[in-house]
Amino acid sequence: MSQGEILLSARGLRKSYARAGAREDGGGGQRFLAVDDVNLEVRAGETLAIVGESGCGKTTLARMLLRLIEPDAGEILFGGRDLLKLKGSELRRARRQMQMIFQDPFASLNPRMRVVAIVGEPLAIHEKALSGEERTTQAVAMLRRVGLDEGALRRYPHEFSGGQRQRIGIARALILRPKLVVADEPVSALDVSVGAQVLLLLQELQSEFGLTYLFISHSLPVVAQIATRIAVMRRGKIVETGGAEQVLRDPRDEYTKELLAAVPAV
Amino acid sequence: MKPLLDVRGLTVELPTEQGWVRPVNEVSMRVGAGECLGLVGESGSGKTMLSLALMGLLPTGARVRGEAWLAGGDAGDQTGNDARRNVLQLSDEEMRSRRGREMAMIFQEPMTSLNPVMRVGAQVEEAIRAHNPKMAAELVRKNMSEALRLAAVPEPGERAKQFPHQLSGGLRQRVMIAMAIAAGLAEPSLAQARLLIADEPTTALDVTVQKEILELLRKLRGELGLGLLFITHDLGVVAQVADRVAVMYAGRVVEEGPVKGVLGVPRHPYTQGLLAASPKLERGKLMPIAGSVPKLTALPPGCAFEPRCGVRKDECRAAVPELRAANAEHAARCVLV
Repeated sequence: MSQGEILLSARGLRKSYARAGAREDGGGGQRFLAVDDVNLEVRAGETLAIVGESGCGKTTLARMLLRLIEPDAGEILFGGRDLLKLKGSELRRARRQMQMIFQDPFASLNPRMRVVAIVGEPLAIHEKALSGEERTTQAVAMLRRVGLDEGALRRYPHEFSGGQRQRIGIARALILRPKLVVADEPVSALDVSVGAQVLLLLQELQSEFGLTYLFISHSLPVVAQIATRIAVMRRGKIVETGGAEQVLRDPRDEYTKELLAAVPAV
Repeated sequence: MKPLLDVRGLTVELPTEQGWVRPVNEVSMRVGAGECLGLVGESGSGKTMLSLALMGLLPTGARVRGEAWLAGGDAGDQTGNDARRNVLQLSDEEMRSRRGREMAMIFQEPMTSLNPVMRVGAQVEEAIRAHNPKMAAELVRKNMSEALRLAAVPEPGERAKQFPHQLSGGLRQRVMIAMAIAAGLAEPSLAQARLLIADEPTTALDVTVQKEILELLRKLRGELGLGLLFITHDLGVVAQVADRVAVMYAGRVVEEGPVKGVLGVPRHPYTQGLLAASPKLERGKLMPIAGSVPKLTALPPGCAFEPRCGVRKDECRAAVPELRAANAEHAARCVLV
């Protein structure tokens, strides 16, 4: 797929949850619309940032785009195929093209697995023909690329700092050479100096591996460093989408303006 | 004017399997009445351990040295005695009588600090009764309402009857602030003599809510003469809230001064690095600081920042640099100053 083609698009995506007090038969309480009729397009090679405050639906949206959560309604096209209709081996093939990086590098790595097994696990699932030795070779290469040396292989997640764990999570996400990477608040749990290292690494890896990023964040300053385009979400809806420069400098929506005004400036 | 809080050479030591470590190392700082000192540092810098030492809440087994003088109310001055006390030397009983009255603390996640099965009004009343056990119920209730009003809790009468889970994150933090100021409201002698330690109080909140809480804290400093020790990792928040800043690294204060000076013309390479690594709304080349914070069990012999420093010299490895004055109010622990 060449740069600029639409890699992922969504139409009319919707997801609701039962509010507290609601009954299974639909009575007793209203349903809460977490994602309310969202349309978006992600072009190959770009970084689309989805920004919003807690509870706006950005994580639910991201997880639906990977089909980790089934939408109530809507359509998702990934590389031209209808993602919601895929099943079995076809769905697995699509899934290896889309990987995720999580916010909490402590919760997202299995504490009882060594790093080599964590980073090699996607290969064990998607490339069963590979020998254990080949898996290790690839894991070492990817770990080295994200800034960890061979000594990391035999160790367990708890032996690493937050920044190093996030690098392990990135290596795991990239080892299958996916097209799309969804990063959900990848630097919010990290210290400032370490977060900057991870943001720069993500930028380098994007051009090196030709990645497309869907970058979920609550922080406009973080998004300003990495986004090509920005979509601002509020109460389940996208209220504004545009080029990063335009949204940050010349926001159209009142809510975007409010968010920008609330950012404490140094 | 005498400072509200005057910390001198505070050192905290904790036992580990590799021997004693010093999460807080020879820290000195002052907070005046109505003033806000921003305490900035990354994880492991010692900023939280410092605040726990001041509150007498250190983990068991911790050793503490140094002095931390907290001004008392007017009552002490009238009898001619210095009402100041070294809070590090207080007995448990004396500490309990001051904690919550003369000094209080609010935390990052208000939900974990509030009792989930108690109405929030009752929790504020409990904070008042802890220090005024004989106060009439009616007066306790009046002070509770006043504290909620001062903390800008909307519809305080209705909110007081609710449980923590029924409130938003921002409202919960307002309730925590109300609890922190409630006990002192009954004692006019404590005006201008109270310290609030806020440990990352807005980190878990949305930016729009953060802005409101920061404005509330500013207002309370003015109205109650509250001295504020504001702990954060966010330089943007410090720029909004603080008069002066102390930057901590590996247990030591490495730079301190007025907020404009420290953030505008930072003198320590670590402060410079933090500023360059902080994302801003303008897209610019982010400059991360190489490496990571050293472990307390394996600190370098000289300057703790030396291994990550871009402008290090041989002498940086020899000894820990002194705090050197860049001007009358601004100092940095670096040989280049």
